[in-house]
Amino acid sequence: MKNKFSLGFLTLVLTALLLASCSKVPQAEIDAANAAIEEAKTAGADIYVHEDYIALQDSLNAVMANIEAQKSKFIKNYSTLKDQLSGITAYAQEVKQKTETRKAELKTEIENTIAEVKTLVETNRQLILEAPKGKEGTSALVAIKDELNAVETSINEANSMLESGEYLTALDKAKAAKEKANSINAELTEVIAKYKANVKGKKS
Amino acid sequence: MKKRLLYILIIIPIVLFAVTLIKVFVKEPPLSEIDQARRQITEAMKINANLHAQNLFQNAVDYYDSAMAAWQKENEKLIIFRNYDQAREFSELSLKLANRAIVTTNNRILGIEEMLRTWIPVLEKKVQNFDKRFGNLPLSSEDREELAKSKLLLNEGILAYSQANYYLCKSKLESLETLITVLSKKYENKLVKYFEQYELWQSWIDQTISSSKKHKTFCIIVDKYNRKCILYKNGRRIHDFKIELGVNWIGDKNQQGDKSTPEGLYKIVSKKTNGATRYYKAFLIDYPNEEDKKRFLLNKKNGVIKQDAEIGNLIEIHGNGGKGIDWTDGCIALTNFDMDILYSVCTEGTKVTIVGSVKPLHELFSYKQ
Repeated sequence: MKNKFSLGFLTLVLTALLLASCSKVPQAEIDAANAAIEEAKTAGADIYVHEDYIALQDSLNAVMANIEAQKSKFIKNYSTLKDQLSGITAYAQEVKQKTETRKAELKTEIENTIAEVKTLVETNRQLILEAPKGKEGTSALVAIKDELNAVETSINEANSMLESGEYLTALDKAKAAKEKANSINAELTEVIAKYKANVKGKKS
Repeated sequence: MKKRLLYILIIIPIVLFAVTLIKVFVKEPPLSEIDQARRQITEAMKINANLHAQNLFQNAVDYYDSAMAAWQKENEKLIIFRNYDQAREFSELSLKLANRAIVTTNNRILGIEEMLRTWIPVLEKKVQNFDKRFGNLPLSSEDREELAKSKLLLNEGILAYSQANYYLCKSKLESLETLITVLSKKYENKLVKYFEQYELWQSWIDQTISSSKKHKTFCIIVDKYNRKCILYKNGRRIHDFKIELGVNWIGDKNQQGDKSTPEGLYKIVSKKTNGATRYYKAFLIDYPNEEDKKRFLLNKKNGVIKQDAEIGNLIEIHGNGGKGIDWTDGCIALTNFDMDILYSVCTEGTKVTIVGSVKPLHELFSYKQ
C-alpha cells in the first residue's frame, strides 16, 4: 500500500516536471528568423520597403516577448510560436524578394530617366549645332550650353549614385535633371525659331 | 477500491496545495507592458521617429531591450523566486519615451514641413530675383553653370518636399541658398561698383533733358541696365522702348570688339535706311567723341588695354531687335516697329545720352523685389 502510494506520487511529480521542462525554446527557429530579417535588411528592406520591414521587425519582437511569456509559465508551450517564427522567416524572405524587386524597378526607372536625359542633352547639343551661327545665335546659345553642362554634371552624379546603390536619391536627381533638360529643350527650340524668323528679315 | 479512493483523496489536496502555492508566489510576467511598449516603438518607427526624435526613440528602444533582458534574467531563476518589477519598470519607461518620441516627431514634422513650405517660395523668389537683377549681366560660364545647378537643386528640393522627405529637402535648400547667396553677392558687388558712376550719369541725364526743354527738341536717353531707350520731347518723357545690347554691356566701351556699349553724351550724326544699314533702320552716333578718344589713349598709356587695340566705331541705334537677348556688338537694337517711331521724330543732331541706369541701384533693387 505504502509502495503504491509512493509510486503514484512520484509519477505525478515526474509528470509535472516533464510538462514543465519538456518544451524547449525554439532557438533554431529564432536564429532562422533573425538571419532572414538580417538578410532582408542587408538587401535594403529598411529603405526600399520601409513599412514591410517595420512590420517584420515588430512581428519578431512580439514573438520574442511571447517566448519570454512562455518561459515565465510553469507549463511551457512553444508550438504556436514555432509556427509563428517559421511564418516570420518566410515573410522575411518575401520582404527581401520585394526589396530586390523594388530596387530593380527603381534601377530601371533611373536608367531610363538617365537615358532620356542623355538623349535630351544630345538633342539639345545637336540643336545648338544646327542653330543659326550669327552673333545673335552665339550669345544666347553660349548660356544654354552652360546650363546643359550643369544638367550633364547632375546626371553624372545620379549615375554615380546609381552605381553606389543610392537609388532613391539617384532617381530624384535624375528626375530634376530631366525637368531641366526639357525646359532647356523648349527654350532652345523657341530661341532657334526666333532667330530663324529674324534671319529672314536681316540684311547682310 | 477503498485504497484507490484514499489515494486520490490524498493526492488531490497535495496538487491543489501546490497550485495555490504557485499562484501565490509566482508573479505575473510583464507581457502586457512589454507589448504596449513594443507597439508604441513600432508606431514611432512608422513615422520615422528614429530620424526626427533620435535620442528619445533610441532611449525607448534601449529601455525595451533592458526590459526584455531583465525579464529573461528573471526567467532563469526558479519560478517562485522570479520578480518582474524591473522589467515592468523598464517597459513602462520605454512606453513613455516612445510616446514622447511620437509627439516630438509629429511636432517636428509639422515644424519642418511648415518651415520648408515657407522657405521654398523664399528661395524660388531669390532665384527669380537673381535672374531679374543679374540675368542681364555678363555671367561667366562657371557662374552660369552654378546658377543652373542652383535651379536643379531647387527642383530636387521641391521633389523631396512633395515626397515628405523633409531632411533631404532641407539639405537641398541649404545648398541652394549657399550657392545663390554667393552668386548674388558676387554680382551685387559688381553692380555696386558699376553704379559708382551713377552721379555722373545723372548729371548727363539732367544736362540732356534741360537742353531738350530749352531748345524744344527731342532727345534720347539710353538706360543700359533697364534695357530702355527713353524718348523725350521738349524735356518731357514721352516714350519708353525696349532695347537689346551687346553681351558685355556692363561698363564703358574700351576698345573695338569688346561688345560693350559706350556711355556718354552723344548725338545722331547720320540716319540710315533703305539698304544703308543691315539692321532695318539706324542712327549712327558720334562715338568715339573727343572724351572717348582721350580716355582710350589714357587706357592704352596705363596698360588697361593692349597697345595694338583700336578704338571702336560705328555705334548705332538700329532695328532687328526683339530677340530677347543681348546680341549686338555694342549697338542698341530696337524692334523694327519701335525703330519706325523713333526714326520719324529724331533727326541728325538729336542728342543721345547713354548711361548705366537712370535710377539708383537701391531703388532698382527695392522695386524689383
